[in-house]
Amino acid sequence: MSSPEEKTLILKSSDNEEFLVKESVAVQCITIKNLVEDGCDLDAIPLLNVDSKNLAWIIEFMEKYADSTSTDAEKKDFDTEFVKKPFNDVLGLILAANYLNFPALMDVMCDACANEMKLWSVEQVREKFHIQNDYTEEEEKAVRAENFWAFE
Amino acid sequence: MEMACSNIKTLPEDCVSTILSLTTPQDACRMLLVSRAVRPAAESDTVWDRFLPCDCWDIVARSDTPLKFSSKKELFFILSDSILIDGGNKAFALEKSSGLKSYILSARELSILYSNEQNSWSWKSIPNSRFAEVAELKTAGRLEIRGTIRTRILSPHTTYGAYLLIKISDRAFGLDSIPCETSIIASDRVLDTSTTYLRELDNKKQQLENLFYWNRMQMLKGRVNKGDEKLPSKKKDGWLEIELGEFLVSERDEVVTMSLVEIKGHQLKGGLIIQGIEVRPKY
Repeated sequence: MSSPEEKTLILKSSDNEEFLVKESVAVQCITIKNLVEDGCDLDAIPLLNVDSKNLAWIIEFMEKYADSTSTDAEKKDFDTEFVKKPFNDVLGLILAANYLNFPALMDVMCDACANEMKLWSVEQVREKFHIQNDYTEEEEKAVRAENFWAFE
Repeated sequence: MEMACSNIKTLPEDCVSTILSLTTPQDACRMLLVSRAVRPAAESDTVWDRFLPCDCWDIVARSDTPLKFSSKKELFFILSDSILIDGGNKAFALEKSSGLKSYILSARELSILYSNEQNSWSWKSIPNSRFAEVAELKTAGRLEIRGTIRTRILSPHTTYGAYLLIKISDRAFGLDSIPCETSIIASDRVLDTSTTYLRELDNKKQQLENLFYWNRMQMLKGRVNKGDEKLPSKKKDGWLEIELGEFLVSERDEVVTMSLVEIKGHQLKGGLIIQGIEVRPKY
């Protein structure tokens, strides 16, 4: 139900793809909201840290959440399907949501990531996040001893 | 872009903290072992503030002794070790792995029939009690022990068990000839009922007595509502606990009454020592 004067924004991804989004939808991202309120008059808003793959998903999410006709139950079902992505993509969306300051997306993606992490061992977390274990053997023993109850 | 997204090091610390705050205290402590780089995020106030209950400042203010802590994580672990609140009449603790709340109501917080009558009950201090005083039954024909708790002070959407913490003295008599009735009642509805025997397991003396009084016990049992005939379990600290029942904390705030009652045997009993009622998460 958009009025004729409803503004449309052009969002440009880091790989130069342009997406048309209604302003009322796009301002769910506080970064974009601030740009608009500060009177940004660029033709297209460049999002240097968000590629087209992530931006397409983000717009899909924004439009669902801006839709006043969708119920809480529908949003929940949407979230459940939306987060079914490879783990690297989940992380990519968290980074993008953080850069764009989009609280609703941040909540949903972080929750999905947390739910995965709960099921993983320490070694699996290192593997999935590609983190090197930088503890010495003594340090690792000390941390494990300090938190022994968590490993029981 | 692909590489950057898959490395937690490029996730800003506050993102890592946000993710960890959505796990559990147990998971956050496990993640400390991942690498040195994850430590600051895993120990941050952002994470541990989320694990603390929303009324934790109220609870801290009611602590018997002033609590000293320099981070939310430290406060969490102080509370998970159990503190005395409300003039030493209640104990409060957080379950370490989940952050769920539990309380122990001391005997002074309970409503015990005839507890003010010196011939029936005495109040005394004993070592190995969480509280300054416990109540000991000298002699009475009826037992009515009740405790109440408001569900809004408990963790929401959690099933709680209520447990009467007792000891049975060597001089005890008449406690186990008839089962007691236990119940959990909220506002106007009964949430759980059962029956229990006030006796220690494997007590040779009582087993012998039971042999002699078998017929009488069967007759007395008939007076009581049907129930599970539970037995107390022994705890590590030497106390026995009797499950009074369980209840689910729902959206609405209500007063839950937890009771143990024995009024149908019409015989004298004594030697029951009560520390209090513990209310803790069951699952």
